[in-house]
Amino acid sequence: MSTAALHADEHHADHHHKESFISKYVFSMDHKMISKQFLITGIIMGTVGLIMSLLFRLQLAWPDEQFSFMETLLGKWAVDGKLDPNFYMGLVTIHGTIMVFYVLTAGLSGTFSNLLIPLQVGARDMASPFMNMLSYWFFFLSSVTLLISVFIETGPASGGWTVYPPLSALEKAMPGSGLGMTLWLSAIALFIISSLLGGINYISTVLNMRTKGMSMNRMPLTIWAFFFTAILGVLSFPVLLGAALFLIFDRSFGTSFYLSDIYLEGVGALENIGGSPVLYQHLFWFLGHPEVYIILMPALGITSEVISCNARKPIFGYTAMVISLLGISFLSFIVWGHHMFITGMNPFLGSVFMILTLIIAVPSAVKAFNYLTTLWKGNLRFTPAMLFSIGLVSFFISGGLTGIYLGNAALDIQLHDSYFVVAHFHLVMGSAAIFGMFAGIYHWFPKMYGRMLNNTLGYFHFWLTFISAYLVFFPMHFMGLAGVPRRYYQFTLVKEFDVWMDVNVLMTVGALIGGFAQLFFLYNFFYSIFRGKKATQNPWNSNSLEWSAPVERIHGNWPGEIPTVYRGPYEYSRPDRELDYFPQYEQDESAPEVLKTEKSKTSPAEKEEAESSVFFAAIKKVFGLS
Amino acid sequence: MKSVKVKEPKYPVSPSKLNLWLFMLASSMLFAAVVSAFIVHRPDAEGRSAWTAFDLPIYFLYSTIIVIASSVTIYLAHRAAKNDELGQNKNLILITAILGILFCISQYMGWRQMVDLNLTFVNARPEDISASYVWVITALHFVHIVGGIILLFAAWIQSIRLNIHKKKMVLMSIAHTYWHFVGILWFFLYLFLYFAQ
Repeated sequence: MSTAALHADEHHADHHHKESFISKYVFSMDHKMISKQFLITGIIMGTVGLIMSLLFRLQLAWPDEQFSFMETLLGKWAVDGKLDPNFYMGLVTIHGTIMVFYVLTAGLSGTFSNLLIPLQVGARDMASPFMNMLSYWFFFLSSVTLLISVFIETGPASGGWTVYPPLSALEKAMPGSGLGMTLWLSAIALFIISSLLGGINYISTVLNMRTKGMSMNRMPLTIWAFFFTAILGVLSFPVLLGAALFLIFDRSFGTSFYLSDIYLEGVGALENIGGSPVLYQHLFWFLGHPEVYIILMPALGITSEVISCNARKPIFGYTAMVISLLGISFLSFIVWGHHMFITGMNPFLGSVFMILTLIIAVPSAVKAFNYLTTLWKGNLRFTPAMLFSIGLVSFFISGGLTGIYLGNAALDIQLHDSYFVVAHFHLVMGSAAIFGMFAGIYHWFPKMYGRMLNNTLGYFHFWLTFISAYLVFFPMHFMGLAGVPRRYYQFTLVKEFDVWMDVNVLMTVGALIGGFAQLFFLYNFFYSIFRGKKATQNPWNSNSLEWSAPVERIHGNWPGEIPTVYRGPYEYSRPDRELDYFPQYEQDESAPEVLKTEKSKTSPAEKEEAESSVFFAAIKKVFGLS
Repeated sequence: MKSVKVKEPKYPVSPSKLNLWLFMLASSMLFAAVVSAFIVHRPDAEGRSAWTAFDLPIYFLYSTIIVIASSVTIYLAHRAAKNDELGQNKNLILITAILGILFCISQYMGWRQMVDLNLTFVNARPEDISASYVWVITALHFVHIVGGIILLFAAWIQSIRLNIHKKKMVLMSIAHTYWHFVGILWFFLYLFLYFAQ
C-alpha cells in the first residue's frame, strides 16, 4: 500500500503546478502551512510574553535593585535599571493580552485546528482556504500592531488585559491610555476578525467535510474540542467587538456609553457623562468567560488524544467526554457574572451566577476522572507529549479546585483581585493550556515537519517547566488568602505585604528557571525542523486519520482518494488484534461480512449516525441549504 | 495508475453557504450585544437613570417598508433563477439592489431628521445617550446593508453574463439568504427601537 501511495504521490506532484515561494510560504492557502505560520508566530509572541513576565517578576522580587541590563533593554522605561511603574503596568497588561489572545487562543487553536481538522476528519483542506489565509494574516497584522504599541513614546495600554473603562476610555487616565490603548484596540479588532474567519471555517469543515464513515461520533476528541471552541469563538467574539466599538466611540468621538461623572484632580474630567463602566464589564466578560474555555478546550482535546494513544487504551468514556465539552461550552455563556460579584450586583443575581459557576465543576470533574481512568492500568509510554498531558491533568485539578472557591460570591469579597485569582487562572488556564499546547507540539511535530523532536531535551523541558510552574504559582495562593492584591508595583511599601518578600523571591527564581527551561524547547524546535531525526509515517502507532497521510506533505493531504473511516479513533489494545492499535482507516479484513453488517445494525454508534444525518437533513430543510 | 480518476467527495452542504450562515450567526451576536447594552442602559422601573425617549424618524418606517418590498423582489429573483427565467432574474436582482440603495437614502434622511431634532451621535446631555444607541444600531445595520448591495451587484453582473441559472445557484442563494437576513434584521431592530424606548 505504501509504495503504491508513494508512486501515486510522485505522479500527483508531477502534475501539480509548481508553487512560488510566496504562495507556498507566505500567502499560503494550505492548512498545514497556515498552521505552522500560526505556531511560529505564537511561539514568537509567547517568547515576548514570557520575557515580559520575567521583567516584572524581577521587579517584584528585588524592587530596590538596579539591573543595568534593564536600562540597556528598556531605555527610558528603566532609568538607572529600575523599572518605571507605568511601564510595569504596561508589561502586566501586554503580557496578559499576548498570553491570552495571541498565544493560547490563536497560537493554540489556530495551530492545531488548522493542522488537525482537515487531516483528522479526512478533508483536502478547509472549507474556505482563502478565508483561512486571511485569518492568519489578520492575526499577523494584529500581532505586529500590538508589538508596535510597546515601542511608542507613551508606552502600551496599561489598564490590565481586560482594559476596563475609565482607565481605557480616558486618554488622561494614565500614559498608556492614549495611543497605546488605541493600538491595543486596533490590534484586538484585527484579532477578532481573524478569529471569526478561522472559527467559521473550522465549524464549517467539521460539519460538512468529513470523509466517508467519519460520523460525528467517530471524530477524535481533538476535533470535538476544536469544534466547540470554534462555536464559542463565533458566538462570543462579536460581543467583544461590540464592547470595543463602544469603547472606541467613547474614546474618539466623545460619546458616553461607559463614562460616568469622573473627576481628575478635583475637576470634572468630562462633558460626556451618564454612561456605565459596569456595562463594559458585562460585555467584556460575556466574551471573557467563554474565552477561557476557548483557551482550555483545545488543550483538553489534545490531551484526550495524547493520553489515549500513549496509554494504549481507549479513552475512558468517549461520550461522557463529548457531553462534558458540550456542558462546559453551554455553561460558559451564562456564568460571566462571577467576574463581577463585587460590582454592586444584586445578591440574588450573584447567587444565580454562583450556582451556575459551581455546576461547571461537574463536567470538569468528568474530564479529570476520565483522564485518570484512561491512565489507570494503561500500558504507559512516557513520551514528552504524554508527560505534558499528564502535567495538564495535574494543573487542571490543582487550578480547577481553586475555581470552586473563587466562584463563591461570598468568598470572592476577600479573594477578588488578589494573588489567589492570579494563582487560579495561571494554573488552570495558563499552565494547563500551555502544557496542552506543548503536548500537541511534541505529538504532532512529526506530522508538521516530517521530523522528530529530541526526546531528552523534551524531558528536560518538561520537568523544569513543570516544577517551575508550581514554584511560581502555588505560593500565590497563600499570598492571595492573606489579601495581597494583584498588579501592585512594589510590595515593600506596605508592611503587611512586605512579609511576603521571600516568597516573591522564591517565585521569581521559579520563573527564571521556567524561562530558562523554554530555551531547551526553542532550541529543540528550531533545530529539529531542519536536522531532527526523520519521522516514519505513524511514529506513535496512533489510530487517527492524519497518520495515514504520507510524511511528505502535499497539498490535498492524500495522494489518492481520501481514506474511508471504519471505526472510532480510540481502538487501542483490542484483544482480538495482534497489534495494539487499529487505525480508523484500516478495513477489518478478518471479520466476516455478515458479522460486520450485523454489528452495524445493532451498534448504537451507527444508530446515532443515522439520527445525526436525519437531524442534518432537517436543518437543511429549515434553512434551505442544499 | 495514471488514468485512475480520483473520486472526490461531495459535501452535503455548499461550504460557502454554510460559512454564510455562520457569519450571520456571528453578526446576530454583535447585534445581540449592542441591543443588550441598550436594554441594560435603559432606565429601570423606578426610572433612575436619565433617558430621552423620542419618536423614531418617520423615514425609518419608510425604510422598513422598502426593505420588506426588497425581500419580496429578491425572493422572486431567486425563484426566477430556479426556473431558468434568466431575464426576469436579472431585472429582479437589479430592482432589489435599487431598493437597497433607496433604503440607504431613506436611512440617511432618517438620520438627518434626528440631527434636526438635536439627537446627534455625541450629545452634551447624558440622557440623550438613547440617541447614541439608535445611531450605533442603525449604523451597524447600514454597514451590513452596504455589504448586501455589493453582493447584489455581484449577482447582477453574474446574471448578465448568464452565470446564474438552475444549475448554478450558489451566488444567487447567498445573495438571497443574506438579503433576507439584513431585511429581517432591520425589521426586528425597528420593532425593538420602536417599542423599547
